[in-house]
Amino acid sequence: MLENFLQTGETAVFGELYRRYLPLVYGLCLKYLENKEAAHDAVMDIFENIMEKLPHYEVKNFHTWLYSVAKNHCLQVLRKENRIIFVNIEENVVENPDDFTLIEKPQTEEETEALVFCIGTLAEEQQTSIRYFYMEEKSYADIVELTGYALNKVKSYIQNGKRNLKSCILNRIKKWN
Amino acid sequence: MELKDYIQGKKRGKEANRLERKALNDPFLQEAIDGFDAVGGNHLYALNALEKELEKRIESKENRRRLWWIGIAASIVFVIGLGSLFFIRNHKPADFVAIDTTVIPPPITPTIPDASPAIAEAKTPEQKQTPVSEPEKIQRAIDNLIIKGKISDSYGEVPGASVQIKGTTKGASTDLDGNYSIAAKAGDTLVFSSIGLLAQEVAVSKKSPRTMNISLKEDNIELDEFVVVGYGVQKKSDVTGSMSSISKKQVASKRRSKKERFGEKEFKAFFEENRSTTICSGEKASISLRFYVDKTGTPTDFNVIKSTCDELEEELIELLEYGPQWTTTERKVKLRIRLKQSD
Repeated sequence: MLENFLQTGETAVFGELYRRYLPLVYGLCLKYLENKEAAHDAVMDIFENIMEKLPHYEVKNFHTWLYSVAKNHCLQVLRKENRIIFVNIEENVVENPDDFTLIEKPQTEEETEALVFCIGTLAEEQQTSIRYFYMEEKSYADIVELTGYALNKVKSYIQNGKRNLKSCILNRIKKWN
Repeated sequence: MELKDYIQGKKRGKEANRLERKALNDPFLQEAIDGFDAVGGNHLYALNALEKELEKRIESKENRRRLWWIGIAASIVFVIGLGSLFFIRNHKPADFVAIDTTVIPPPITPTIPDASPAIAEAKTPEQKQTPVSEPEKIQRAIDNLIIKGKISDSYGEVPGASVQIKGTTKGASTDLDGNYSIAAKAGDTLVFSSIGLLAQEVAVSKKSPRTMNISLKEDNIELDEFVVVGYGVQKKSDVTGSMSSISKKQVASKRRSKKERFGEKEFKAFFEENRSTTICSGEKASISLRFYVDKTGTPTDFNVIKSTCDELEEELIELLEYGPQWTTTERKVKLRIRLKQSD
């Protein structure tokens, strides 16, 4: 679809592409601007900006490109308003794009062993959340109900737990090899 | 599961879990989910509103493209119309001259329309030469100034825009790249216009440049639909703090829309209105400088005589260079400005 737009320059083609991304872009803007009207305006501004810019860029991965363009736009809006932005550095470290699937599907025996061991090393809340999330396929909302933790706590338990698990497992496997 | 279902409230079970897992590997998705969770309200409603607005914008953009084509087509029809008009005009006098030379008494005129076309045609070529004598022709060629250029708006060149000599039916229109060329005489006024853009007039004198690149401003009615908020024009005096500088483009477009008198007094008002309020604050700043207003009304050759503050100097020269064109041209100007301190 992107190629189609670049070849024909048809606004409608790009519009359809952008329409599919509306929820993502809008959610992202909500996160940064914390205001529905501002997010709405930003989504439309980003559309106009991209319409102009896109033909001048060589965009290989539209998904990640749009992500960074949209995020930059929102940050710029905040900067213009001179608002102080609290950015959680940890949260914004972009994870390795190659999926870390060990937690979900350990392939070998030693991977499984490492996983079981590492889950045991996690703090209790992280452990519980991770187990529910990965082993029992519970959603955030499910876990909130099951454990009584707040939603954002559950999120950070899982995100941090995952990170801890990853480094623990990788370390352990490296030691053995 | 789609993100849309998720924010609609379907946050339970395996499907939701799958989306959340995906989000852990996709910061875009993760941050979007965070955003929807952080801000309350009916997000689905907001998304529908966005979809509708997007549709509307796309439609109007497409329409604008279509309008251009209609504009081009209309111009072609217009030119053809002009052509036939000239054809008719050129022939009428010829018939009358024919009457004179053959010395047919006026009472017999009613029979003239019945005269066979062969006679009329035979006479026209010979008559065509008589009305315009050689020196006259040369004079006309001298009087005619071929003016060329490009018409653009903030989106780029404007195809199918029309260039007309005010008060006449003479005109031309721009090609696909926005280029036009028209023959005009000193004293004519060219009117540049296109659908959705504000028309602009430029007077032609013998000294006018032969290349006029015109930038047309969006019509306000269109602006409501197309304005990109990030680039919104802000009155500089409304902006507190030292955050923005008025862009050259903004000022340039202001310049072209003004037609009324613009001289020292008007510039001072313009300067007061557009200058940054933060320059040289806390001091009694003043400046005097000389410059020359060229034939297009653009101030050049700045010569600062006295200035108490560099910022003021820069600001003043920038606004002179990119501000409205002066209506009193080709003269030297000396300008003194004392800053009013607003606090």
